[in-house]
Amino acid sequence: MGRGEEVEEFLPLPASAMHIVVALADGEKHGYAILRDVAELSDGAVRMGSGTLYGSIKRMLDQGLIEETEERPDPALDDQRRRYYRLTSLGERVGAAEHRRLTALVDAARLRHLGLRLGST
Amino acid sequence: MSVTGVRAFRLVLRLYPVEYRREYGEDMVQVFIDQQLHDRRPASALLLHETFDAVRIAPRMRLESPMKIGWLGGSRVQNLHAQGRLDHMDMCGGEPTAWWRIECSHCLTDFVTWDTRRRYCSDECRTENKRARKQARVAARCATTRRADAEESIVDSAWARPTTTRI
Repeated sequence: MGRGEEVEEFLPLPASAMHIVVALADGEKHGYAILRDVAELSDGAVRMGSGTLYGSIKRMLDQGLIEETEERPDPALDDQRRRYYRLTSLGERVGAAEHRRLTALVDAARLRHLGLRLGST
Repeated sequence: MSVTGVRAFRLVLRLYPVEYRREYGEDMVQVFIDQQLHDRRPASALLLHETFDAVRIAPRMRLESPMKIGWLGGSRVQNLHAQGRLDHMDMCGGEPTAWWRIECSHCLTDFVTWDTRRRYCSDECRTENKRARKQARVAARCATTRRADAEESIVDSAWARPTTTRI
């Protein structure tokens, strides 16, 4: 199986998983940091519950999209109880592929002036 | 931070499957505490949000959880796949839509299946159980026969002639 096909298997990525991928794109984070990042990136529109968060994390760990990391990014601010997660190379590729898919969809919607029509109602 | 809120949240966590709680329960409590401390959200609003989340997420997790438990986890399901015994399962987009955890009537371990009518986890268990039931039936019949024989022998001995010894 080629790399492209391997990535295609994961698409479309669930919204919660894509939010986590985006949150982890700039480095490893623990659960609460991911939640905060998701809320900030969506201007507070998306507020994940901890059940959704850890449900998605568990599924993504099983699928190999993210992994738990042993190293602590900042030992001074570290809390030993926390678990940190980071994207795997597969996770990065799947995130990029989902980004392309969503961009193509948004472009198609823009071409048909969907936003303008819906915005005017 | 509201201690009562954390206690109430621990109760909400009970909606999730036990293996999920063991794995992520404490992390979820930590996130709940962090949200109270840093986001300055009232515990009641947070608790309501988490309860809605749990009610929405937990049932699906409970349906999915049999695939992940103990020795009957993913490998077990893969083995069943490999043996071709799950060919006719209910599939949707390459994923099983409903899985059930059933206790094997013979070895009493849990197994995973889409078929709610299955009683045994494997062909070996079904054969063993059949053999055991047959043995039990035979033993019961033998016990009845033995009891009848014993009663007959008692009756016989009661009616038996006294032994005579020639002088």
